Amino acid sequence: MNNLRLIAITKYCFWFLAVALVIFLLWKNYSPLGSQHIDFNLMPNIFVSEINPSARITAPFCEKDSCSQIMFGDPLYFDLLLARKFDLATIKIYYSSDVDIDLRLGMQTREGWNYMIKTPDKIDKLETLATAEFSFPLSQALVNKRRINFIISAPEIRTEDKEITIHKIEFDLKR
Amino acid sequence: MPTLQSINNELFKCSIILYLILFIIEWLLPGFVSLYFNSSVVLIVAILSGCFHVLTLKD
Repeated sequence: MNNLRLIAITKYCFWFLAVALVIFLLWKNYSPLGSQHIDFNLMPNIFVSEINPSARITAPFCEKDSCSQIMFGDPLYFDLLLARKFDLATIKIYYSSDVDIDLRLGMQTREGWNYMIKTPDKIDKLETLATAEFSFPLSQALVNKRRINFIISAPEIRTEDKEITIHKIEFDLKR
Repeated sequence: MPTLQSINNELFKCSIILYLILFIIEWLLPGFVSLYFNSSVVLIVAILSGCFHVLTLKD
């Protein structure tokens, strides 16, 4: 009798764990609440693709905990994977440049070369390191297999032979 | 030993069904499972409990 009870209890425990896992996944994918913060420090990241094409940016150079990539061509692209539905994306690019440079970020809105390109909403400068902040309404984004394509553009790189060092990109996704 | 075998059977049934469910969900909605959970863990549990079941059959 005790054995039967033990078997029944363990059976229910296993099924409880299985159902809990499915509920956890449903919550993570369809949660109506909350936000998501992604720190892309230029190392492989499940949510952000590497910045491409490689002919316009150097490979990540890492020293201690921080990495950097030098952008010497224009424009650059990367994909952001949306874990679930969000309404607003605030993106911060941490970069440095010896000269003042006009950095822009765009979000693909339709098939083909259709991007909503924006100048920074805010720029914070601390000596050579600068932070450019952009915000995009995700309702207008072209979502392809949960991915949104972004473009980093600095036209002066093409015309005036300048360079930008990108250190980090931060994403704040909100409902 | 029979109790352990029964528990192992339940574990095998549960893990193989769970893995199939996760596999189908991931196939229909890429990233639904793999972004948050490594479903290979469930498959390994199913394989181990299946092996244990086969070994105890000989007894």
